[in-house]
Amino acid sequence: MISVENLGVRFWLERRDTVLARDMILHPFRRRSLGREFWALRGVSFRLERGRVLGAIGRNGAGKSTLLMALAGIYAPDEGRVTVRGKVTTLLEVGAGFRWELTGRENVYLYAAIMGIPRRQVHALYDRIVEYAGLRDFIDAPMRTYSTGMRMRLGFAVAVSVQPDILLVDEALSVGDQAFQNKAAEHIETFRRNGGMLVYVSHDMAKVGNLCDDCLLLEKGRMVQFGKPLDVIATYWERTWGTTVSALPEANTGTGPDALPSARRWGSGEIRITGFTLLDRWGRRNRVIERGSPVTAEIRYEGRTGAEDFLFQVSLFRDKRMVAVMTSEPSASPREAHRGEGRVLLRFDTAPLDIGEYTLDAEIRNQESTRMYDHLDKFVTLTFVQGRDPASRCDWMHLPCQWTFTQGGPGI
Amino acid sequence: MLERIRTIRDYRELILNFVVRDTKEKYRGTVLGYLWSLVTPLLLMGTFVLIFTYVFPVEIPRYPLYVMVGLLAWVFWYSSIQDAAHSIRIGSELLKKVYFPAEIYPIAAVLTNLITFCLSLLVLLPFLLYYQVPISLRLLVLPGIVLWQALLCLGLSMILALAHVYFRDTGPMVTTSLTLWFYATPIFYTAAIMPRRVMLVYFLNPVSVIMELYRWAIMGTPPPLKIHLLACGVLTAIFLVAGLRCYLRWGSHITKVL
Repeated sequence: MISVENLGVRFWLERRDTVLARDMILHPFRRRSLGREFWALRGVSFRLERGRVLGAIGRNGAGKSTLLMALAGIYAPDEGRVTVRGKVTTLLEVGAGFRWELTGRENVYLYAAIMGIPRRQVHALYDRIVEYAGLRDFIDAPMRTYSTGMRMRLGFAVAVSVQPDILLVDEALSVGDQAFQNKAAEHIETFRRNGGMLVYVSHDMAKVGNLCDDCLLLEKGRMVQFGKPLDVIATYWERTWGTTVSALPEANTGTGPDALPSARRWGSGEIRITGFTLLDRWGRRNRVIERGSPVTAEIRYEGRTGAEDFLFQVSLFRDKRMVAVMTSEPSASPREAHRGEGRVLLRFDTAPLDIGEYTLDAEIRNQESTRMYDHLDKFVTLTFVQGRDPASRCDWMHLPCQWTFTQGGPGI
Repeated sequence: MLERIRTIRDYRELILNFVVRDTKEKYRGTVLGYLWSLVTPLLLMGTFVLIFTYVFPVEIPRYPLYVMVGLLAWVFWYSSIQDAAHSIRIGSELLKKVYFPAEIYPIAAVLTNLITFCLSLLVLLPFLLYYQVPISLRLLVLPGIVLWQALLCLGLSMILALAHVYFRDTGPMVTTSLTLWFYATPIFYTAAIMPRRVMLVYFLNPVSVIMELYRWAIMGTPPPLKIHLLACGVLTAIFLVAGLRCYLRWGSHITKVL
């Protein structure tokens, strides 16, 4: 259980390290300031129950890493309280404290001691640690001979050798080759499945959306929102891309009567979607489609101030998870949005998708995703039902495939 | 505060690890190895003996032994304080990445020097044999005196280590103070030459008291007065308690300054 009440963490910038003797003699009564005060966190309060995963998101410098350090006990709060019940392991920097002149073996014991693992336990786990790191042949060589990757693997192996109650992970520090990254991700996943409490700092909104039960958005040290991941992530995007588009007149009518009234929308608004209609295979306006039959989305858009190099993307979500995405080819989109209106038709096959309810995102952005012109978030629902077509009666997918007979087979 | 002590105890394996590692590192790769730590006091003692036997003759019986005991105790004191005062700043990188009580650093520094000191006491054996010093029951108290000095070192070290984080002047101040302190302690002279009035203040210096205790236990010289022992004890306790309280208050804040 983690409980944070009105947490504030303050740093002093431009700190004068030395209280100079000269200063003290010449101006004994001058108020000595410690420098400019900077609150890396202020007024943060939330509560996390056992077994839940918290995602901390926010821009760089928002205070996410500081929060993690405060939870780990490395930074003491200047305001408020932090209560953490349970054993905490931090994957903030793997292999901190390694001394290069010592051997791998000695460093394992050292690092374990730093993490507070009792020596007896290290003895018992030692072989497993070395095995997990894949360093059996090198373990008695001085660490100065190891490559960076080897050091990280060893550090990581020690860090994950005990199962803590709470795991603090800062994704910004996930460096290392693909194999290492995979191992790390796998461990985190296992930990999560076993019901451990996880605080995960990340910039990867997809991961946060999928992994986390709760989400916290920080901006400039303040807590902007704490709640369900999709909600909070949407707020994050709004604040990143701006909500110019929603502020425009006819913002909500633009998507027509099909749109969900509570949909969120963000973007800079140079081009915006003015209408979005779903049509079934017979061209009728419909939001209930037979599984296996094609769907057409008619998107009407309007360029207000003109923009170059834009494309469209429509994504389908099932519960919280994104299951499909369709992006228009940049070359197929008109190179320039002229001022005025345009229309695009998206036709897609629903064959691989299971029956059920799906929500859609639609957006107009540039190819590098550095500019978001308009994004409609989960604004319309599409339902797939069992069709009369026998092919659509299955619950599983018919994958497009090709059978090649090399010997025997029908008709040969 | 007891909880803090318990936390420190929880991390005793880390302390052990630091001590072992520091001890190994001190002498890894040097030819004479551990013997180096004895060379300086021996040379210093030799110098003092020369000066105070032939240049300014002094009437202190068994002078070389007298000086040697003082020097060894002093080196323990000096090295602990010096090492410990800088220990937190030096180890700051680790402290900023993982949580553990910062006291660990000065504690490990003092313990490392304690080990060196205990081993160095062996160098006194040839002196004891030469002067035919009788083995008395007083020697049983010796470990207690060593422990007392260690606690004194620890208390002051902890405070200085923390101070050094906030006031970098502490480093040079410690070095300068220790240099002067050397002359305020009866290492190469005896306190008996002091006028009575000065004596009272003189023995407010806890190291003087400890030093006289060592000499009493090893050589049989008169022990310090009870009042002086009390003053030393009180000072030791104050240092330790004040040190712990400072860490309670600021221990987890220093990571923001380091």
